[in-house]
Amino acid sequence: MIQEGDDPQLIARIAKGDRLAMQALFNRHRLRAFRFILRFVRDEAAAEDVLAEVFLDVWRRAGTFEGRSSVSTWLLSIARFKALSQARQRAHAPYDEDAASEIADESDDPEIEIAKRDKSAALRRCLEKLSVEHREIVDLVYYHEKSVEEVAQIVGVPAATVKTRLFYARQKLSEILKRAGVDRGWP
Amino acid sequence: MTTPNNNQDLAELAPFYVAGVLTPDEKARFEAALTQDADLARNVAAARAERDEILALNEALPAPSPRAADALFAKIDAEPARKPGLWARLDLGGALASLVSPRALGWATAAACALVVLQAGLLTSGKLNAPDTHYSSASGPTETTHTPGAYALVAFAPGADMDAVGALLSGAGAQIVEGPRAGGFYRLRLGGADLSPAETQKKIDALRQARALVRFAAPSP
Repeated sequence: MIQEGDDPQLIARIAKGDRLAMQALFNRHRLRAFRFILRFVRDEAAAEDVLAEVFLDVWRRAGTFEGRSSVSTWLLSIARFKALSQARQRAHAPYDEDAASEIADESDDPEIEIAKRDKSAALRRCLEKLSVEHREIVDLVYYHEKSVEEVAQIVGVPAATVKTRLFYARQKLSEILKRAGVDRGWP
Repeated sequence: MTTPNNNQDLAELAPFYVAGVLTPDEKARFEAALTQDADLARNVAAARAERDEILALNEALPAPSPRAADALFAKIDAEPARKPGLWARLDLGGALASLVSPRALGWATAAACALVVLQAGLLTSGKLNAPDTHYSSASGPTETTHTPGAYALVAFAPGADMDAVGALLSGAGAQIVEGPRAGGFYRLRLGGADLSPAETQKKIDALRQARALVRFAAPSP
């Protein structure tokens, strides 16, 4: 887990134009922010451009940070907004707010067939098939270790929606796995 | 007593329990139910498996190249210079030089030292530039100060601890006034215009001796 206890102090210093603090914050959060962005834009060079834009926003807006959320939650909110804008501009944007209840692809492809012997590999393949809307919440919870309220803030949906969306995605995962011959024992 | 609504609520919280992000109250309620609910236990086992695969999938993703840092700091270089803060505008060094009373000079010196220590204290824990994160093609530096004085150009060691750097700068009576420049260099103010060349060199030597923290230190105009 990232040590972010002094992030607010770094932000306060950045607000005063402190580049050392900016570099420290960038080094601390660049990897997770980049991987989050990459899910949306699907192109490394474009994701790096977005990453730079996100931290430039931090540089410019540090003085407005009020500490109502953690710095990483604030960063991911900015990253999500900019990544979605970039993805839409690039015309291969996969995001559709109305498609939130969809699972991208439930087909029982040959890779899943092969993966039947390995429950872990099968689960990984199915996770990769989640829709962007579901996958971002799964990533935010398990990889970024965000709470219900933090995910709600980053994604811009009510907390109840975060919970039900994640629950639904997990149920669908189990269904897809079951069709592929893998029973993971829940639900 | 658990109700269907309670069960659903707990089932939805399983991933957050596994991620360790429930509040203490939620966690206690969840763990109390977990001991009596086999379905919830299977749910948690499934969530743990999901977490493990999600971590593996994310760790398999690439890291950003140094180009991202290049782009960021080039953009920052192109930003309009910020107005100096209140303390800088007060020009403590100038005020100090104008004081003639030795007693007042002593108090002012103490105040200046306290300010330097305070600034160093703000350099809180964390690591400085990792080896792969140097940016090297930033555009020309923007001068943030023209105050007469003694300056040095330094580059910190990759991975240097910010607390230790803060203590070093405090000990040397130095403040970062600019940076990072291309190559990860910072410009430090070592003292006022009245700092003698010998004292300046002594401070630079002290910085150089801290090899675990400083990889380069030299006088700067």
